[in-house]
Amino acid sequence: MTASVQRAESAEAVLSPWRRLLHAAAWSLTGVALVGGVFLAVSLLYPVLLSEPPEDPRITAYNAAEWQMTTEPGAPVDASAWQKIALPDYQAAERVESPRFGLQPLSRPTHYHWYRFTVQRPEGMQGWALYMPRFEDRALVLVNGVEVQRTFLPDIIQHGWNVPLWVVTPPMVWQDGDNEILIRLDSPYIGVVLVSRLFVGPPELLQPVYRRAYALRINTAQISAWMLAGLGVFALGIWAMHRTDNALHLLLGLCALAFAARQLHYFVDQPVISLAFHWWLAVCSLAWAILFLFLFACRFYAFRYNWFQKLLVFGTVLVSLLILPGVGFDAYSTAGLVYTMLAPLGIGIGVVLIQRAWQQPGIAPLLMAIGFTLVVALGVYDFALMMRLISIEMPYLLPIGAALLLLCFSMALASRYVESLREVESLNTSLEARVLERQAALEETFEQLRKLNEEQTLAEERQRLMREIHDGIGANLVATLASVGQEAGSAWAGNALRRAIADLKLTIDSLEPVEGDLLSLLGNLRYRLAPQLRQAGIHIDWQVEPVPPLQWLRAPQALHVLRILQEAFSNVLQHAGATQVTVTTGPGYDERSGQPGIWISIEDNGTGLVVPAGDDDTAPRSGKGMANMRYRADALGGYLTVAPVTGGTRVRLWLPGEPLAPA
Amino acid sequence: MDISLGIIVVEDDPRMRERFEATLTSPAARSAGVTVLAWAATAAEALRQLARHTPDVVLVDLGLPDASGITVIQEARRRHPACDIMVISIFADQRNVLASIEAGATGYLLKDDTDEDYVARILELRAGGSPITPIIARQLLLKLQPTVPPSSGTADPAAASLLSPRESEVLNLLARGFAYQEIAQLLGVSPHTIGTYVKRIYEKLQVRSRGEAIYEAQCMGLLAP
Repeated sequence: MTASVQRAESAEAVLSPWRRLLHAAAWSLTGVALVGGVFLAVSLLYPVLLSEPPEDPRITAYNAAEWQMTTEPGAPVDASAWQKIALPDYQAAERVESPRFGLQPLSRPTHYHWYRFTVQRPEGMQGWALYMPRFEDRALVLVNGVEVQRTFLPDIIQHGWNVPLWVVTPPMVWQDGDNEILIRLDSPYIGVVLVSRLFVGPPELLQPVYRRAYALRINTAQISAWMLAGLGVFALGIWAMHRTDNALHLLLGLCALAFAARQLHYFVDQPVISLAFHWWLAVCSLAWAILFLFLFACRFYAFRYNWFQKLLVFGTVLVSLLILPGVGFDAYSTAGLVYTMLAPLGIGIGVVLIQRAWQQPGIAPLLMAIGFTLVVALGVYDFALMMRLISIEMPYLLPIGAALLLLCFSMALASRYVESLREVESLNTSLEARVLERQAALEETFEQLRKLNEEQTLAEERQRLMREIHDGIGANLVATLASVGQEAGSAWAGNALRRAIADLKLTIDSLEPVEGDLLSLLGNLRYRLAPQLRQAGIHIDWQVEPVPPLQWLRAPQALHVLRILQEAFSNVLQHAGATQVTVTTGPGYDERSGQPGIWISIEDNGTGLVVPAGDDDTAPRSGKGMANMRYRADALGGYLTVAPVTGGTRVRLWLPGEPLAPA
Repeated sequence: MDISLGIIVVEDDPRMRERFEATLTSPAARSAGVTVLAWAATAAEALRQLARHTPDVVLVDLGLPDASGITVIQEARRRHPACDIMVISIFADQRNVLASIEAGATGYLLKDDTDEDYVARILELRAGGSPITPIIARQLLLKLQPTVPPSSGTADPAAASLLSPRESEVLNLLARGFAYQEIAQLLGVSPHTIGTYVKRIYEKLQVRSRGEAIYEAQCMGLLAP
């Protein structure tokens, strides 16, 4: 988040002043367009908001009345003083040059404004209801000279400027023919007198309309106030317990509480401390709410706390002090001025929020932009209503707006909170995965190390043995052979020594690492036997085909293979009287099980294996040798076939491609 | 003495020494121009002799009482780049032979060879042909061309290798047990040429292991890059 803000700021810094101005203008236009859009929506909702009774012959709507002003509370006696005026009427005070005196404790004249309506009584009528969407400030209602309603009590300050008038009259006050309704209004505290249209008709028809008007004006403000207060306390609680979120919750909480305080003046008609304080709170709270909103937005987008923000805080404190009761300026009278000053600030915040929402697409910025634009639009609407540019019968809408705005901002904060939770979660997940990965890698390394160690130990052991064989037994055998060779009549001893050395060589070869490469092993055997075969005049026909490596071919198995083949060659050398031996290899299947494997064939052109050469000790040795070969082939999971072929003998060894499965 | 072939023999076993003495001073050997320049029974003695003489062939037993024969091979290679070094081995096992080749040897003598074979091997090597066993051929393929399995038969020309295609072909056939003559027939060259291929491959292994040693020394900070 911070990084993207920095990027956005640096991008702005690159722009030239003119382009920045152009940007600002474009964004302002966007803001204005949005405000206009909300305004349009309000005007479309006009019929609902207006709370006008349905068209019905039983309902009489009075668009005009007769008016006169008296200075005495009693009913007017001068019948000629009645003037016809149109309704709604909000200029009564001006007509008698009674200036708006606001809350200043002036010695002012007491003016009573009388409005007279004449009603024709229809047949069979029971009690009639009177409904007036808006009036100010205190009303007394008389029907045919009988008082049917008063909105105030003597000696109690009651200031119900926002509540609709609703009177259900007793049937007895009505008479046949013309009836006279008199409504007396006075305004001893703020000097404002307002009268809207009067509706007279059956209560069952008018009551729903009154209820709706009451809900829009009073209930909405009450709900808003409680909601905002709850939200504020909640946000402050979060801030108090978790102070590391850049005071966002603090500012949101203060903003919500300020807005909650602002709601009071819409429905509290008996001021708690004083009327002056009541209005001071109403005016100041809006300024504070906007200020906190602005600071919240700045923190949310990580703007630096700069001179402008300081100036605003200072200005708000100053204005609040200046309009404090008893300081000098009257809150009620200066309300319009204060609100006018707040308007550009509000629009400025709106533009910034819209711009941010555009630059950083996301739920939070979008919610904040929408919520705020809504509030600015409704604020403009309320201001127009206050300035009488809109029908006074319309309700004030900021209570709804404030609640919606705070909801939007809370959701924005929540979405950011959820986002950060998700980040933490994904961080945890990736961390976990990484830990697991590392653990697995570590285990693998350990396993490899263990294997390597094992192999190292084995290799070292092998080296030691090899060295021993090489320098000890081997060297001795060779030296003995050398000395024996010089003595006469020691052919037998020489041959025995040579065989011992050859066996030793075979053992050494079986220990060489060949990784299952049978051909190298076979080749080495050929290399070892080559001098003997050459001496015997036997030519080797080497016809080996590449074969797949045998994974199971370790030193013991290699020794088995070498021994089998050595025996086969020695048979060729000793008994066959052959002149040629053909060695062939290739991949092949077990004839019985069909298992894949390889075969090695050694074929000579001699007289055959079964015929003993006549030497006494070679015949049993040969038979024993064959049994040995078969035993070794078995041990390897392979098999051996010895068969006569045209002009010779063929020894064929089949070996499995896969190791013998343990029984 | 038409060709003079100066030899230094480094062997500690008196019986083997006797055998060499008998072989190398035989009339057959003499007629081939073989002259033993010096005998050494220890590595220290060998190093002294190497400083004094300029041998054509050095025979070295690895199991010397005072140091490994590898030291002698390295010194001989350093002092006399043109000489041929043969390691005296009983088994031609890959560990000893490869270590010797990496140190600078280009051939080996099997102790249980016949006396005639000794001289023949020396002359063969002098003529440019080195011996090899299939297992060593296989190891060399693995070391010098690590990406190609030795029994696959076809060398991948794209693989970064120290071996030329012909060399790896020869090594492949050697690893599968084919004799020099057979390979020579297959490739249409003389058997001796195969021996020179092997010798050249040995030298490549030597160069590579020297390069590795230098690289490792650089890594350890022993040498300035």
